[in-house]
Order: sequence, then structure tokens, then C-alpha cells
Amino acid sequence: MDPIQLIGSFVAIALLALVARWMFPNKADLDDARVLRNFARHFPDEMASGAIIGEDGKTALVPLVSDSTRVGLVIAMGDRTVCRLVAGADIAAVIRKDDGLHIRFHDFTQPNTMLRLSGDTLESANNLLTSITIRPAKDAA
Amino acid sequence: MLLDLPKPTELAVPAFVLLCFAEMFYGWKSGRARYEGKDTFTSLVMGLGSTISGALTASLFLVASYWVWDNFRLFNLGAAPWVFVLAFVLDDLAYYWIHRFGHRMRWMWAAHVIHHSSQHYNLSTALRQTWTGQFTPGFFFKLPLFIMGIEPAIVVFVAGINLIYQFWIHTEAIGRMPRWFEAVMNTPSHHRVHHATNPKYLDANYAGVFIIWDKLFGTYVPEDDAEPCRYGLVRDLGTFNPLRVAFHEWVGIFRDVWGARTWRDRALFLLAPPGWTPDGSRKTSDMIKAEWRARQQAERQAAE
Ligand SMILES: [Zn+2]
Ligand SMILES: [Zn+2]
Repeated sequence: MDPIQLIGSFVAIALLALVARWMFPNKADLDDARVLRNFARHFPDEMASGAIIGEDGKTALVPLVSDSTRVGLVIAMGDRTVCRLVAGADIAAVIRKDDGLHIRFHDFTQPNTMLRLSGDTLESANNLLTSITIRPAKDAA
Repeated sequence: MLLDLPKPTELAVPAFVLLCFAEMFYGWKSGRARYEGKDTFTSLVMGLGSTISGALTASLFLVASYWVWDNFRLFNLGAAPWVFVLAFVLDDLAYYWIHRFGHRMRWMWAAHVIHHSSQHYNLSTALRQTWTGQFTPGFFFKLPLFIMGIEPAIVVFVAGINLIYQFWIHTEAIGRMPRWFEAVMNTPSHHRVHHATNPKYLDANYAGVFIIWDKLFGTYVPEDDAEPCRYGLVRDLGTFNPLRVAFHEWVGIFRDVWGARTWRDRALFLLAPPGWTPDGSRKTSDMIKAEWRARQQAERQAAE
């Protein structure tokens, strides 16, 4: 492939992506209904007990009714969502900072996420994740 | 003497770009097609990378193919028009099996998963192609064509046309084609089912050009208007990074093989269907479908 072709390809790619972004802007953040609907679609046999949604509407934790060893995770990806059911062994580290929880996973396709929270909600999300991780968070970090 | 034929896919690229713009515009106006900026970017970068990776290894593929053709062919069918037609049909049959194994053997899935990794279904999804198809046993499925006497250059040429055909079927903008066409050819409707993650639609419609192979080999599932397609992977990727998209399943295989206890497990991590584990801790598509059927039955019984 000669350099002109390569440059032309990159220009075409950039142009198509920009036009796509302009014509189809992502507006919807996560809300309870969207989180639970998508979680149920991926994990129809699990019973969610609610949703803890980050203040930026990008990431949500889904506690389960009768399973305290795992937690659901719904992350906004463009205009779609990615749903996971994570156990302690899937989590590499949970780092609590002032702006929320920074979570790292043993997952090449989803290396990390951030749950933007404050106050009591941050506290309960942190407790939830700490309770399912096998090792205490500070060891892994 | 090596037959010198044009490269159909490279010639078609400008048309692909224009048709993506056209579909985008149509979707913007009508709402019957949807794009997303980052998703589109990743799909197109995967397409470009696939072209580059293919070009880098094309000569290797040709040398291997011509070696088989020179040493093991039973006939030399020549280059008459009917040979091109025969090659097109048989190459499509080979494609069906490559594609079917591409979903049922994790080694081949590691390359093919890329094409299914978008949660969107539009013309840019067609260009989301693998960078690593050369590192799978896919090549062996084409050997019968060379052995029966079709020159490799002809096979490469018709495979290019096959790939071009598959471009236009990656759209939600077209509902159904005329009945006779839907009966014989692969169409947007059939291929939507192939890209869908709904349990009902898993492992269906592997066809390239002719849907008849699926009907023949029992993998045909028609699109059901009561069950709208949801696209992507049963475990979607949480990244748009093209490098992670390109290599994620290879990394997964490597980790699993590295951590395996027995040689049997190592082999099965490579050869068994995606999702297979010795302890059943992940789900294969068969397990997902079985759970779905059980849920359906339970719902029916509850309703009675
Ligand atoms: Zn496929
Ligand atoms: Zn496809």
C-alpha cells in the first residue's frame, strides 16, 4: 500500500467518523430503567435489587438480590451499553478517591472503569465492591 | 504461469466509502440506520488494518496455494468463464465452512470475532474485518479447490467478489428482498440474524453469498419480526481501541492455555467452541441457547 493510499484512507476514516458523530450524537446517559433493562437482557437468570448509577451517568453497579459474591456492572459505550457480571476474582483493584471509585479488571477488553460518586452512595458502592473482592482492595492496588 | 487478475476489493473501496456516507445520510433523515462516531472509527480502522495485514501475507498465501496446485492437483480446469462460475460457487461453499468453524472453534473465532465486535449493524460493520485470519486453519478449507484443478489466482479473485457481495447486506435500511431472492441469496435480513446475539439467533446463517448452504446444512434461521436483532457479542467489548479489538481473543486464548493443567485442556481451549472451560464457568453458545429454551418452556408452562 503506497503512502498516498494510506493517507487517503485515514482522511476518509476521519471524515466518516466525524460525520457519524455529528449526525448521531450520543445524548442518553444511564438511568435506572436503561441499566436494569440491559442487565436483564444479558443476565435473564439474575435478579437485580437496584442500580447505583455514577453521577456522570456512564457507569452503574447492579447489586443482586440473592448473590453477595457477584455484582452486575453496566457501562455506557458510545450509544450502547456493556454489561458484565463480576466476581471478586475479576477485579484487580478498587481505588477509592475523592471523585469516586476507580476499578481495574483482569479483563483485556474492559481494563478499567470509573464510578463517579460522592457521599453515602460512594460509601455503599465501596462497601459492596469490598464485600465481593477476595483480597482487600489495598493489597491489589 | 501466474494468472494476473485485478483485485476487486481494492477497486471497490471508494464505492464502500460513498455508500457508507449514503447510508448515514439516509439514517439521519429516516431513522432507519444508525451510526456512532467511535464505533464507526474503530470499524474502519479495522478494515484498513485488515487490508494491510492481508497485503503483507498475500504472497505467502499465494506461494503455499500454488505449491499445492503444482504438486497435488488432479486436473487443470483452465480459465474459461465456466471455471470462474464454478470457482465462485465452490469458494462460497468453502467460505460457509470456514465461517462455521470460525464460530465453533475458538482458534478461528479469535480471528473472526472482530467482525462481530460492533454493537451496530451498518455498512461500516462490513468493513470491520480481522487482522489475523492468516494465523488460523482457514486456509485448509480452500485446498480442495486447488486439488480439483482451480488455479489459486482464480480462487483469490472470486473470493474478492464474494467479500464485495457481503458488503451491502450489512444494513438495517433494507427490510426484505423479493421472495425468490431471499430463498437463494444471502440478504440483509439473513445476515442480521447472523450478527444478532439473541439466543434464538446464535450460530445461524453462516452463508457468504448463497443462503442455500445454511438450508442444506441445518443452520438456517429466518429473521423473526417479533424478535428484533440485538447486535454484538454475548460478552461485548468494553473498548473501542483497535489494538485491543484486534487481539483480545488471542490474549484470552494465551492466558487460558498458559493456566491450563492438562494437555487435553490446552488443546480444547484452542479447538472447542468459544466459551468452553474445563469447569463450565463460562458459557458456550450451546449453553446460552439451552438456558433460553428452558426459560421459554417454563414461561409456557406458567401460562398454561
Ligand atoms: Zn460470523
Ligand atoms: Zn457480517
